[in-house]
Amino acid sequence: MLKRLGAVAAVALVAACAPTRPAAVNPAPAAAAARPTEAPARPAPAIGTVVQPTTDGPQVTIKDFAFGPKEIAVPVGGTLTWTNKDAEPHTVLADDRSIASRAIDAGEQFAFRFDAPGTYAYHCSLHPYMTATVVVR
Amino acid sequence: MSLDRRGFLKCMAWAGTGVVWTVSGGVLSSCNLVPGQSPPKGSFSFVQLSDSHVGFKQAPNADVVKTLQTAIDGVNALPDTPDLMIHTGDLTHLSKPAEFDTVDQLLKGLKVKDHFYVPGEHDNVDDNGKQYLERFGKGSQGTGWHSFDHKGVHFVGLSNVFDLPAGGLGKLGAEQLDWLRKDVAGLGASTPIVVFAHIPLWTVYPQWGWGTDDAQEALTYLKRFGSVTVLNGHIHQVMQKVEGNVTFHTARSTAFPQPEPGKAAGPGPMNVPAEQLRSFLGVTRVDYKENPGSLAIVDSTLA
Repeated sequence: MLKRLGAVAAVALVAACAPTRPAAVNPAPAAAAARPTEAPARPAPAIGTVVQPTTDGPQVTIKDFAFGPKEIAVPVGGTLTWTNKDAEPHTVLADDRSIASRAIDAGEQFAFRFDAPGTYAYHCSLHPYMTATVVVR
Repeated sequence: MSLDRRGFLKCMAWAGTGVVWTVSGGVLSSCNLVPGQSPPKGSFSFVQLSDSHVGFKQAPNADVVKTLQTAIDGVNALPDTPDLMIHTGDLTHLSKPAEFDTVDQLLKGLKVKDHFYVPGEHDNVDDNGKQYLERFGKGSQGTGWHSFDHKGVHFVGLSNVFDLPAGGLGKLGAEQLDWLRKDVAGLGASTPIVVFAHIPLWTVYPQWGWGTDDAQEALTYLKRFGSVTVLNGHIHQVMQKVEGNVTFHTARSTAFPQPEPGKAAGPGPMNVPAEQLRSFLGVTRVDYKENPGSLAIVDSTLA
C-alpha cells in the first residue's frame, strides 16, 4: 500500500502533526475539521473522467465486500467499469481522492476513463478494508 | 448481576428493535422490565436504537420502515417511558433526503422526547455528512461528536465513520480524541460514563472492518472511571465484552441482521426466513439505578 507516491506525503503528515496517531497516516484530513489547509473532496489533479458504464473494456466486480480482480490493468484512455453485485452499497475512492464515485448501490455500475498512466490504489469509503489497485499504462 | 430466566423472558416479551439500559451505581445491571414495577427514585432508563437503514429494500427485509415502526411501538409500550433515546447510526441506507425525512418522521413518534444521535457510515454517503449534521447533529462538534449529563451519568457520543483510511477500521481522529480527553478531564472517577458510537470501539473482527483504529487511545482517557459502558451498532447483532470497568455492547439493527464474524463471505445482510426476521431485529434498553448505582443492559427482539 505504501509503495505509492502518496506515502511520502503521508509520512510528512505524521511527522508534522500526529506523533502518536497511526490513523493520521491517511493523507486526506477530516473534512469537518475545517482547517485552511484541508483538502476539498477531490484535491488531486484530474487523471480521467467519470463516464457511462460499458461492457467494452476491463471490468471489476464487487462481490462479498471485495473488488475483483484486486489489481487490474487499464490502457491509457481506457474505461474501467465496476459492477456491484452485493446487496450493500459500495464506493470507489482513490486513496489520493483522484477518483471518487457516488454510492454504487446493489446492482449499479460506475465507470471511469483513465487518461493518465500511473498506479492508483483505491478503496471503498464505506468499507475501507476493501482495497484494490488500477494500473494504467 | 443475575438474570433470572423468568424476568428475562418478560423483558423479551415486548415487541421492539431496541435495547434498554439501566444505570445504577455505575454498573450495568440486567433486566427489570417487569410491567408495573416502578424504577426507584434517582434511577432512569434509556433506549438504544441502531442501524435502521431507511431506504434499504433488499432481502431479508423489504420494509425497514415497518420494522422501525414496530421498534418504536415497542418502546412506546414500555411501562415506564425511558428518559432518552440514543440512535447509534445508519439512520438511512444511502443518505438520501427522502430517507432522512422518513426516519425523522418515524422517530418523532417516540414518546421518549430527548433524542441523541451519532452518525453511521451510511449517513454520510456522497455529501460528507452535510445532511446528517444539519438534521441530527445539532449541538455537536466536528463530524458529530458531543456529550451531555443526565441524572449524574455522563454521556459521550462519538463519531467514527468519517474519512476512513484505506485498509483501516473506524476512526475517531486526533481532533476528536483531544476533545474527549478534555471533556472527561474534570469528572470525578465515580461518575458513570456511557459512550456511544456507530462502529464498535473494541476490535470485534478487523477482517470485516469491525473495530476502530484509535479507540484504544480514547479508552485510556476513560480508564480511571469506575463504570464505563460503551454502546455500539454497525454489526447488526448483540455482542458483549467486559474488560475491567468497561462494558462493551453492540445492539441489534431495526432493519436486517448480519452474519456472525467470519461465518459468511462478507458482512452483508444475512438472509433469514421471513417468519424469523423479527427475532433477529431488536432494541436495547438500559436501566440506571442510582442506588447501588448500576447499569443494566437489556436486549429485546422484535419477535
